[in-house]
Amino acid sequence: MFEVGYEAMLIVLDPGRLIWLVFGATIGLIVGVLPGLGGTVGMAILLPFVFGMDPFSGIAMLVGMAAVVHTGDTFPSVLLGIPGSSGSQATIMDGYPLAQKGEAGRALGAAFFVSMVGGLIGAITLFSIVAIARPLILALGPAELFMFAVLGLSMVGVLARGASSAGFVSGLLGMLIGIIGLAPMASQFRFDYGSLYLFDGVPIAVVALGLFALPEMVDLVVADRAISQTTELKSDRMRGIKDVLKNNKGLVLRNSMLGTGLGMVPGVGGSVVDWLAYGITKQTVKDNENFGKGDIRGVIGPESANNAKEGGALIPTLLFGIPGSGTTAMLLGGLLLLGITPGPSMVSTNLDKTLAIAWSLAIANVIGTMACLGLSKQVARLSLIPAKILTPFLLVIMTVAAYQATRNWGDLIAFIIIGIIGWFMKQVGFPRPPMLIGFVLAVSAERYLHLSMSFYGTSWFTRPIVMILFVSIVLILFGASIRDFRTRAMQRRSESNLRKSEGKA
Amino acid sequence: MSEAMTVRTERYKLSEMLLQDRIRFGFSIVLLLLFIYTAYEASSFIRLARYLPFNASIVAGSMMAFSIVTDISTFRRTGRVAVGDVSDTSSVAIAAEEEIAASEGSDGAGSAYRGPRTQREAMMRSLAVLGWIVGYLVGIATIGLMVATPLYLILYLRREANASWRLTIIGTLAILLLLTVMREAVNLQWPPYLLRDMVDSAFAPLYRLGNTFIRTVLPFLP
Repeated sequence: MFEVGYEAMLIVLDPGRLIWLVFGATIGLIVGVLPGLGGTVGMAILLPFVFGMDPFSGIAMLVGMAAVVHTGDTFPSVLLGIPGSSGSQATIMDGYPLAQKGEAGRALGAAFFVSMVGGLIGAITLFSIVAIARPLILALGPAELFMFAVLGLSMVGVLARGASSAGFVSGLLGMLIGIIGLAPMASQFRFDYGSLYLFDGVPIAVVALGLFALPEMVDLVVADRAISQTTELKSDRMRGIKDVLKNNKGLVLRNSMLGTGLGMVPGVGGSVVDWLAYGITKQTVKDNENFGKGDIRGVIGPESANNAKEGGALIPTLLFGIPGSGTTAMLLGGLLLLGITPGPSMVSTNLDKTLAIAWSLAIANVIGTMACLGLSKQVARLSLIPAKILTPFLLVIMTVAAYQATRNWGDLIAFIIIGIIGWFMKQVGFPRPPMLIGFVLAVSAERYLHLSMSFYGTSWFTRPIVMILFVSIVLILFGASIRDFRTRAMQRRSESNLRKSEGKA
Repeated sequence: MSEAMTVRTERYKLSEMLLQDRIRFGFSIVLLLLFIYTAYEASSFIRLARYLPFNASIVAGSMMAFSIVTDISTFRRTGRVAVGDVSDTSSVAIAAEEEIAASEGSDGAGSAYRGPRTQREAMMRSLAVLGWIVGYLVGIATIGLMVATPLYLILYLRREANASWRLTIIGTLAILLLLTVMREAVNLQWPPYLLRDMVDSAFAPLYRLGNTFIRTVLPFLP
C-alpha cells in the first residue's frame, strides 16, 4: 500500500496536475470567502471542466476545491460575524468577538493553522483506514444515526449561554422551521401554505445568513462604529499559531479526530461538526467562562474539526457511494464523470486513485492555509472599516448569495424575515445558535427515528453504539454540572481538612 | 450609596418596564401564539408527519408560557427581566445600559460612544436600517438588481454614511464589476423583476458595452 501511496504522491505532484489542484483550491478559497456560497457552489463551478479530463487531474481539481472551502470561509466568520459556509458557523461564536477586540489576526492565524492540521489529519485518516472502514460504517444503522442527530441537538443546552429555557425554545423553533416541506416517510407537506418555494423547505444558507449576518449588520450601523472596537489591530497571526502550539495541541488533535469521525457519518455529521466540536470544547476545557466572549479555544475547536471532516466524509463516499454532504454528493457525480465508480474497487483496483484523493486533500490544505495566512494581515483590516461604509456592500453580496440558494424570490423573502426574527432574538437574549442546530437536524432526526422504529421497534435503544452515544449525550449535557459538583466537593473536603488541622493545632 | 442603589421594597409596575424588556415580552407572546398555531395546524397532519411538529410545538409553547410567567415575576421583584446573556453588540441592550447609567448620573460608555443613548433611539435607528434593506429588496423586485444596486449604494453611501463622491463611485463600480464577473464566471443569476422590458430597453446599450468588456477581459484573467 505504501508503494502505491508513493506512486500516487508522484502522480499528484506532477506539475501538469498540480496546476489543476491549485486552480481548484483557488476556486475553493473564493467561494469560501464569499458569504453564503459553499462547497456545492464550488463543485457546480468546477464540474463542467471535468469532461474529458485525465482522472488524476480531475481528482486534484475537485478535491482541491472541497479541501479548502472551510479554510477560506473563516474570513467572513471571524471578520464580519457572517458564516462563510455551513461549516464555519460555530467559528463566529468566539472568532467575531476576538475581531471586535482588535484580535482578528490572532483568530485568523490560529484558525488557518488548525484548519491545516485538521485537514492533514483527515487526509492521513483517509489514507490509513480506508481499507478497514467498511465494517465500521456498516455498523451504523438508522438507530445510531438518530442518536448522532440527538447528540447534535444536545448542543442546544451547551450553546444557550446561561439562558437554557430560551435556548431550548430557540432550538424547537429551529426544528419547526426545519421541517417545513415534505415530511420524511409520509406523503404530507407541512407548513407550506401551497407555496412551491416551501415544498422543499427553507435552504440552510438563507437561514444562516438571515439569522447571523443581517442582525449584526443592523447593529453595527446603529452603533456607528467599525467591527473592531479598537482603532488598531493588536495582535498578529503568529500569536494565533503560538496559541495553538503552546497550549492547545491536545485540543486540536482531539477535535480533528472528532471531525474526521463525524465526517464519516453520512447525512448527519457534515452540517453540525463545527457546533459539536465547539460544544464539546466548551464543556471539556477548564476556565470556560470566556467562551462566547472571545476565547481563542472557541476558534481552535471548531476550526480543527471542519477541515478534518472532509477526509472522513470521503470514506463513505468512496467506499459505498454514500455522500455525507452536498459537496461530497457533487464530488460523487464528478468522479462518475471521470469514469471512477465508487465502491469496493476503490480499495483494490482503484487504490491508486483513492490515495491520490488523500494526497490531493493534504496538499490542497497546505496550499490553502499558506494562501490564507499570507492574505490574513491585509484582509483583517476589513474589521477597521466603519460599518456604515462596509455594510451596504456586504448587503449586496449577501442578497446575491441568498438568492443563489434556490434562485427563487422566496429566498430573499425568507432572508429578510429570518433576519428580522434574528434581530429580535439578539436584542432580547434568545440565543441563535440553538435555532440553527434545531433547523439542521430536525428532518434527519425525524427520518432516522421513523426508520429505527420500523426496523427494530423499541429495541433500537439496546443497540451497543446507541447506548454509548446515549451515555456521551448525558455526559455532554451534565458533564459541566458533574465537574462543578466534584470541584465543590473537593473544596469542601479541603476546607474541612484545613479546619481539622487548625483544631488539632 | 446612590438612591438608585438602595433596595426597593415595593413591587415594580409594568409601566416602569424598560423598552428592551417590553420587546422581550412582545417577542415571547408572538412566539407563544406561533407555537399554539403550529400545534393546532400539526394536529391535522397524518400520524407519521404529526408527532414531531405537534410535540415540539406543545413543549415549546409550554416552555414559552412558563418563561413569560417567570419573566413577569422576576420583573415585579427586580425591575428587570432575566434576559440571559444578551450579545455585547445588541444595540437596544447597549442603549438600555446607557439609559440606566444616565439615570444613575454616570457617563456610561463615554464620550467616544457614537451609538444611541436611548432605547427608543436605538429602535428608530434599527428600523431605519431595516427600511433601507427592505427598500433595496423592493428596488430589486421592481427595477432589477443591476439598477437597484448602484442606486442603493449611491443613495446610502451619500446620505447615511456621508462617504465622499470618490469612494461612492469607485465602490459602486467595483461591486458592479464583481457582480458582472461573477455572473459570467460562476453563472450566478439575478432575481426576476417587474419592469424588465422598460429597464432592458433603457439600459440595453450599457449592458452590451459591459458584456462585451467582460467577455473580452475574462479569458485573460488568471
